[in-house]
Amino acid sequence: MLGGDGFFDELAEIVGRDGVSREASILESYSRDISFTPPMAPRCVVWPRSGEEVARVVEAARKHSVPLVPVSSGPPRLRGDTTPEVEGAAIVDLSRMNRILRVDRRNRVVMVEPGVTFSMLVEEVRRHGLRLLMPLLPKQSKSVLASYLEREPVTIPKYHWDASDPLLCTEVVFGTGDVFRTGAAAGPGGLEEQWASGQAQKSPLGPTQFDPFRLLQGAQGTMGIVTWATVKCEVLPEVRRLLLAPSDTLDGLLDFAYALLRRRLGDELFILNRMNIAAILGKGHDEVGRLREMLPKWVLFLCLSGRGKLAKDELEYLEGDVGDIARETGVKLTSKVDGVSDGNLLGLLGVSCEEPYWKLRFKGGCQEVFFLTTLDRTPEFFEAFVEVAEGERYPREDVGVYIQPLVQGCCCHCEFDLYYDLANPAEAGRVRYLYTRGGEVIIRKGGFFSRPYGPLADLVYRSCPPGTVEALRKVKEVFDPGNLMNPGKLCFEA
Amino acid sequence: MLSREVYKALENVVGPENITDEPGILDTYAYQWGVEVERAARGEEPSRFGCRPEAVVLPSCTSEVQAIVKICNEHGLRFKAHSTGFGAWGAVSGPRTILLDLRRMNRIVKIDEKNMYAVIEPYVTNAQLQAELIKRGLTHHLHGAGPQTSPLASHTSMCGPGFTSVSTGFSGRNLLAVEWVLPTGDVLRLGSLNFGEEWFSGDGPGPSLRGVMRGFMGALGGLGVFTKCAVKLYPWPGPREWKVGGVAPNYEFEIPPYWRMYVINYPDWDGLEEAYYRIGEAEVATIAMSTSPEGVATIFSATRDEAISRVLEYAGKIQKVIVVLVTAHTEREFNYRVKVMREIIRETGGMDLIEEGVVKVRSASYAEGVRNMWGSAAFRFTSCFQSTHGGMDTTAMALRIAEVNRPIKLKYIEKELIGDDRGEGIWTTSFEHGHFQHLEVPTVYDPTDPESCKGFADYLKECNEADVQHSLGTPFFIIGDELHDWFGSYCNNYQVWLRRIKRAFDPNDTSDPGHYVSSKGGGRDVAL
Amino acid sequence: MDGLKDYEKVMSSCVRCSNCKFIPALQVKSQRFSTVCPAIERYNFHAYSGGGKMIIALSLLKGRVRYSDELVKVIYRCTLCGGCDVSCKYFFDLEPLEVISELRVHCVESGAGPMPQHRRWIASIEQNHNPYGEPHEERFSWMPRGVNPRDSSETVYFAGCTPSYRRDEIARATVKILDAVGFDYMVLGEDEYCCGSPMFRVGARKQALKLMQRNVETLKKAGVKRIVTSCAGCYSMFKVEYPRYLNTDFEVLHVSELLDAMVRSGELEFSKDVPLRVTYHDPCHLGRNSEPYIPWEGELVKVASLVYIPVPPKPVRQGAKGVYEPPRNVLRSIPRLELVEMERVREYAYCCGAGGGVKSAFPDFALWTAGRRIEEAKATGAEALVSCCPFCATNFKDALKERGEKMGYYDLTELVLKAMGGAV
Repeated sequence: MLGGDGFFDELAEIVGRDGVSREASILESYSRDISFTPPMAPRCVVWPRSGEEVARVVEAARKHSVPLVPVSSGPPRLRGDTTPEVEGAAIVDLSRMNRILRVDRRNRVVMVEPGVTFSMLVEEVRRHGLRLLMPLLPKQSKSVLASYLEREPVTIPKYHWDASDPLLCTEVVFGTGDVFRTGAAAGPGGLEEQWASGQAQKSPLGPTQFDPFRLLQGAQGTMGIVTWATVKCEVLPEVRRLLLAPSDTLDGLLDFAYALLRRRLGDELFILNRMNIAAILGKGHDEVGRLREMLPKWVLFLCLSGRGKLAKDELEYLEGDVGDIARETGVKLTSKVDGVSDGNLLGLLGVSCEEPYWKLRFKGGCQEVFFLTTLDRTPEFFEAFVEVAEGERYPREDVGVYIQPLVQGCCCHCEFDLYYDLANPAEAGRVRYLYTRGGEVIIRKGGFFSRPYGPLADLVYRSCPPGTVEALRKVKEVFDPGNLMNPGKLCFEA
Repeated sequence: MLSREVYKALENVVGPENITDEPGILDTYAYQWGVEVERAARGEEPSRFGCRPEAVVLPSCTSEVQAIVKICNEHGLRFKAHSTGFGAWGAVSGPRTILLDLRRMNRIVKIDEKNMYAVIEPYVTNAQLQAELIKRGLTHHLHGAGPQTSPLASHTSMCGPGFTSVSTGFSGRNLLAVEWVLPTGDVLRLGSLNFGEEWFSGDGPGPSLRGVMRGFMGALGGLGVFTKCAVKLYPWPGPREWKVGGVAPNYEFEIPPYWRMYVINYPDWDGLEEAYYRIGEAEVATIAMSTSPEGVATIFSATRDEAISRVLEYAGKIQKVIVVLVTAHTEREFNYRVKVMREIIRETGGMDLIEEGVVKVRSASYAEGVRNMWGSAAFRFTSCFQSTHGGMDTTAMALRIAEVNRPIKLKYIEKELIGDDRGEGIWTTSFEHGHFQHLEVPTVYDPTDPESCKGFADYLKECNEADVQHSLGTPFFIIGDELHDWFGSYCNNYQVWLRRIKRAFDPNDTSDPGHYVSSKGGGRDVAL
Repeated sequence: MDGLKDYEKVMSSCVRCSNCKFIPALQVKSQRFSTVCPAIERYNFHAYSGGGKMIIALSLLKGRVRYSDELVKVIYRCTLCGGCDVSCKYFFDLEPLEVISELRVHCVESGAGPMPQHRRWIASIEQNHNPYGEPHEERFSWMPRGVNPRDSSETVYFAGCTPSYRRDEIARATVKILDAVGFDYMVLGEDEYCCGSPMFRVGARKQALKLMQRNVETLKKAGVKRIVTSCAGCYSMFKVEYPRYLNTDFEVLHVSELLDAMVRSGELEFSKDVPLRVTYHDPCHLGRNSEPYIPWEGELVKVASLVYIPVPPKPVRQGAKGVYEPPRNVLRSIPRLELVEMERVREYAYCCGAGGGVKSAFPDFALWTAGRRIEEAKATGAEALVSCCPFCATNFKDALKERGEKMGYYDLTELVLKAMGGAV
């Protein structure tokens, strides 16, 4: 057993008595989540309120050799990355660090602490005439910073220039206890001096010949704890129009999607199958089931917008060009599909999800299987996955699909959502097996689990050339030689 | 001098035709533009001849590169990767270093038209890649060093501004998967390449090792050899045939429909700055960049004589300009973009010098712009320049660099150590529709004059110091132990982390650290 | 002139940008046909490029290296095609071809060069007035019966060594055409010696100049005011080097220019169809390297710190004024002949591989280069390759044969004669 009460007392000194807890019910809430990651209770939970407190917490952890698991978002948690892998870890819950530190309309950037959620931030940036690059309907408690740190897919591919977008600069406390700023924020000069010279901590690159921010992304908190970040925003449109392209087949939408991606036309662009549209629109199991039957099998969502004084002109030309492309690629565009009108759906773009989180509405439980591939291969992966699913007596129609083109069309987030009844162990067992079995099939076919969570992570790293694992471990050794930061995650030792 | 045993071992890898230790040939690798400034800064006689490699080898494939690197490890030698090799960082920095000239690795491995990426080897040039892409209605990000240089080198190992950056970004942000021979000789694959011949992603699984590979600047040969990479592609707004005719030097380009150039003049920085922000947000530009009146003269000229007469012609008529190229795929798109530009010009108080008849643009200039040849136009007047500053963040910061630089530059102009451009010679470009901007200050010096070389070195130092004093971001050439130790002290002591990375991946400094960091460091490991 | 020293500033100003390895970037239409320098394309080390050779020259001048067998090979594995020069001058005020030529002179004068094969034919020129070791008295044995040049004229048809001894179909076709149109010309007969090009190109400049001086005296004595030749090598010598070094003022015409003028004036008409798809190869010495040298006596006037302007403006030779249109015009006027263009044409044409002494010293390299050009010709869909240089002719014919290609090769004069209903 590491540490001891000394550690807890030290934490209390840093954050105050009400900023730290060992209460059983609280510990229980962090010891497990909806994923298949085995539960593990932490020793305590601490809620720092500033970067300085975070740094002191990390120092204390180093002194007492206590592993730390950073958490920024609230429940429900579906991926297992915030459940400790080892005994005796302390949860560092950053949700009380929830200041929006700076909104800079001119430079289209916002600076936030980890506890800032999409719900909080969307409205704030809107007041400044900006919008965020959003994942699709994130949960209410989703941390903006955490989402971007984990390279969650955003719904507007044309603004996704690099896989790291929209994350820009960060301030981080490494596992060594050192505080560091990445990108232009590193310097020269402190933040005030940089602002005085016109900077806005926009460039994520560097400092100089490395990009430490990329090493923090996808790391599930294994390198350090990020205490603020700047994130890229875009101009809020004056007018928007949502177009829907229903299709019986996924294949039937791809040429259209590719043509749009190539020209960088439109804003939100993604594809959902009927299961996932129903899950989003329905309020409970029955309604979801009913909607699902009415909806087209596949729908491509495309939002066009116009900005500034010539917003209407912009929208008009986009409608014209997109219409031409739709005709050339044999796609029928509509503003209505059976069961929904665009009024419902437009309101779902660029916002957080109302409670309950849409992935839990159908059956209470959901195991996400997501990976990267190219758009043209998504039908192939879908068929391969549902074949595995049907082999496990998991109904094909229950597999939710979300396809999100990324990096301006170079690749694509392909997500299969496996809905199941949390209270039904047999169902859960089937899904758990399907999760890993499906993962194996996907890996064999060249699908890339760029963000491997939970039990799948083992499989992913075992399928990787050993040199890659070795390189990642070298990086870990640089930034967290004491292995304090979320040990046991990804390919790092427990 | 390389031992015969090692020479033979290397020869067995590449074949006798593909290795040399002939001094005259080695000197063609020791000679580099910019070495004279590095030497002058060290108080040495300015000469473009730097360090000679022990030998030059020409591998033809990744396994040969690996074999060479392993031999170097075995025999305590260093190595340095080199492709088109333009600049002081292309040379080896010390003795006992083998130079790998990657010229034979020049394949365009794959062009994935649908998913818009291309996989290339080190010696594919910008012009070659673009020429092949245009046939498919695509283009890529060409960096400012020019069409004859290597996009793999820029994307993996160097910097990244280009003339089309407003629409094609920055080299380091255009990279997908990479095949990388580490300083040990092992191959590291980034991203999706770990799971088969898939090149669409360079990040993960988990953290992105692109973060080790490069930053704002690449490692310039200090972390191994990049043997293949995938680069993002962009739509080409024109026909799939590149038509250039005419008689040299007056080539003529068949300008595609829906292309229009602007040279928008402003009386001061404020108007220019506002224009950049507006044009960026409007997402209408293919090129959006600024240079001095002399710069405008030379980029639109076919010859030096023509450039000189344009300079005289423009005298007093050009203050602060933004050169914008608008392109579009359809008439609708073009009409919209032109309308937006008209509004922006009007509202920001700009004047379109092309419309006013002040600046005439020949058709070839359109082609030279999208082929990123404008940077080379800077050589027209004096055949030698180098840039200072280079920081990248916001438009406001970038333009501030110009203001801070001017008095420094004028001081050295007055001493007649650098070329007189009235302190107005700059190059700045917008990136990713206005999200970022950089600014560098091309400065003419005489490489054959020791005073001028030393003067330039002093001026460069002062520019770096000004960047620190005024918080103007990271200048380009913070490379090498000494500069990192100095600059790092103003930047969170990042050099400590950089050096730890070097130690982790190359503890014996087998990959030439001269333009990166060495594992031992120039100074002690600073306590953080 | 002080040899390499005169070029020190030029050599030291190379920024090693690699433009010299490729055709001007604006003209690149494919990866396959984007290069311009056969030497570096074949041998790969930077030393082989135009810029590389400038660096070698500087290195020698600075005493950093000495000549070695290897270095001499680098210097002579180069056709002096001038492609590097054209590409460099797009932006730079440098003279790569001048430096490379001066480097060869330096090499010869130091005793390290030229190549042994070159020394042999230099001796042959001095002895037999041709590089082929052939008897001088047989120089005009190609002359067809029934063709009657004048005894004297202000215009001489200078056949040249290669048409006389190796590619006599060119010489014969030429005189038959000239005869058929009643053109007023003479030949020098036994007074015709080598123009000096082979010596000049390999750096034996002193010897070349002696021969050139002798030729000038012979031509003047014969009352010649105009030289017509069907050899690109001779053309370039008389057009560029003779005026440059010996201040001559002969009017110099390549036969393609003459034929073009005759077609346009109606003097020359074609009566026979030549149904053939051809592509035209611009010989280096007729194209970019035939632009006249214009001496510049100005000065660099300082207008501001480190800013100098040449006063008067300095003429730039970047290949624009070579002979490009005349052969094409002639080809286009041949009935049923279809002309298709390669990607690398005019001042950025790819070399045939033979020049600069390469054909004799490095025959494999010469054939290799020709093979690259043949691939480009084939890519146009042409059935035949046409050019205006006997040296290109030999190298292409050798390469076509070695490769077993079906593609034909013609000199322009052969096709013209065909179109006139004649035969070689």
